[in-house]
Amino acid sequence: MSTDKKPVPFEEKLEALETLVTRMEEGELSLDELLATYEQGVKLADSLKKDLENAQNRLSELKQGALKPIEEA
Amino acid sequence: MQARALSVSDLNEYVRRSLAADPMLQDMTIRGEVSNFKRHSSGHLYFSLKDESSRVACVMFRQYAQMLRFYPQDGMMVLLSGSVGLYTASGSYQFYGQAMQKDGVGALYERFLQLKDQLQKEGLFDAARKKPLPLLPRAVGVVTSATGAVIQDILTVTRRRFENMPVILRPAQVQGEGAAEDLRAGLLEIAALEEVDVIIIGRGGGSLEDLWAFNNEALVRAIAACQKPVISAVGHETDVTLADFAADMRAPTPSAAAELAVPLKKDLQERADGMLTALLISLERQLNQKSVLMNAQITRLQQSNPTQKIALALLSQGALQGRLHAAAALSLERLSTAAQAALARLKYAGPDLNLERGYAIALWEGRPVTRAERAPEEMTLLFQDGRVKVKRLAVTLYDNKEQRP
Repeated sequence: MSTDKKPVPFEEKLEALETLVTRMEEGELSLDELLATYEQGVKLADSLKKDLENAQNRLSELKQGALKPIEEA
Repeated sequence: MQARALSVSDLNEYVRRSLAADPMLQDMTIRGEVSNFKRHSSGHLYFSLKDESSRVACVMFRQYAQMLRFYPQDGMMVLLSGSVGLYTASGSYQFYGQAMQKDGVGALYERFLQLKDQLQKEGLFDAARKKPLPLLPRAVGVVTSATGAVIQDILTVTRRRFENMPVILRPAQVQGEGAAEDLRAGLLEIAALEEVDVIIIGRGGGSLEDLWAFNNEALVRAIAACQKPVISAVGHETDVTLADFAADMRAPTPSAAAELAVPLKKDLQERADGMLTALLISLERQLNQKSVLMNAQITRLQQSNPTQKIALALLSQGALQGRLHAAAALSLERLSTAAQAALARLKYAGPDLNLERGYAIALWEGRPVTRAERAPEEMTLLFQDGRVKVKRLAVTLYDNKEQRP
């Protein structure tokens, strides 16, 4: 396991969230486990939303840049 | 006899007229090999045509020489059309040429075919050796004459297609003695320039002799070996030189060469814009896809959040509490009923009821007298509505219980 603060990829987090949710949906968690899992899930969801928002912001920046005519050399 | 003697001039003049009067001599074509070819500074050409056994002096004046599509050289077999006339100053007759063309396959052409064959066998012209032209060169190198239409055509077309495209000209001699060497040196020089990504080498149209430099073996080999793509633009479309075969691309004209070398800026921009748009669309679509996936998971997460479980837990906890309360209440009620019953029983067990029934209680000093044998002299009888003070008259004790009333 590497200990550097490399951001976890979006897809990995999405998969983790799916696993959590599936476990929650199976309904076999105790209340404590359920709460802990839910908290983890909410954190993941927030992180995912943030990632996506960043990506969308960057996309719109790029789009704005792309609409500018290429400068004549 | 003496009287009839003519002057030399008269004779020559007479012969000149005789020749000029012969219609056959005034319009004829002769075949022969060029020798002693000289181009006078005036532009007139002087040479001889010969065959195995004879020769004839020939002259071609400038106005006709200008129309020639090739440079006559010694040894060349030609067809010369013109007329026969006398050069009166020397009394020699000569052929006045007006048009000349090469006769059949000349020696030059033979050499051309031989070299072509040889280089082809070596694989110099193989399609597999051809280098692709760059999409967008940093600069276009041109090896051709500094004067003339070729460089002008190339510049015009280049400016039209990509107005700020650098064109670097290496002026070179494109015909005559030393042309092949100069072209080769020019090609090597321009290929050595870092920014030159494509090279055009060529000249305008001309005869096989005009274009001969482009059949030079060393030049052709240099073109084939050049590390950068070379476009040949030699002569007109119908003119073919070995340089054309060796080049990576052959252009029929200098303008066409420029079109091959330089892309249309507008096209490139449109392509780049198109790709950029496609890229952004794809990016956007993928983001949307990810967003949909993410939202699905978040929805699931919310649906399976612990609220329900907590609510259920609360509910069951509440129910328990209720049961507790109910149970407590019930117990209390039971207790209270029991207590009341006990009280009732207590009450029944007490004296009041007996008094109502007609019994009386004997009290002495506030305490019940329960036995006859202990009856004092004076007692108080307690009735349900009052008390009576009595005196003891007699005491009779029962022997056993059967005697009780």
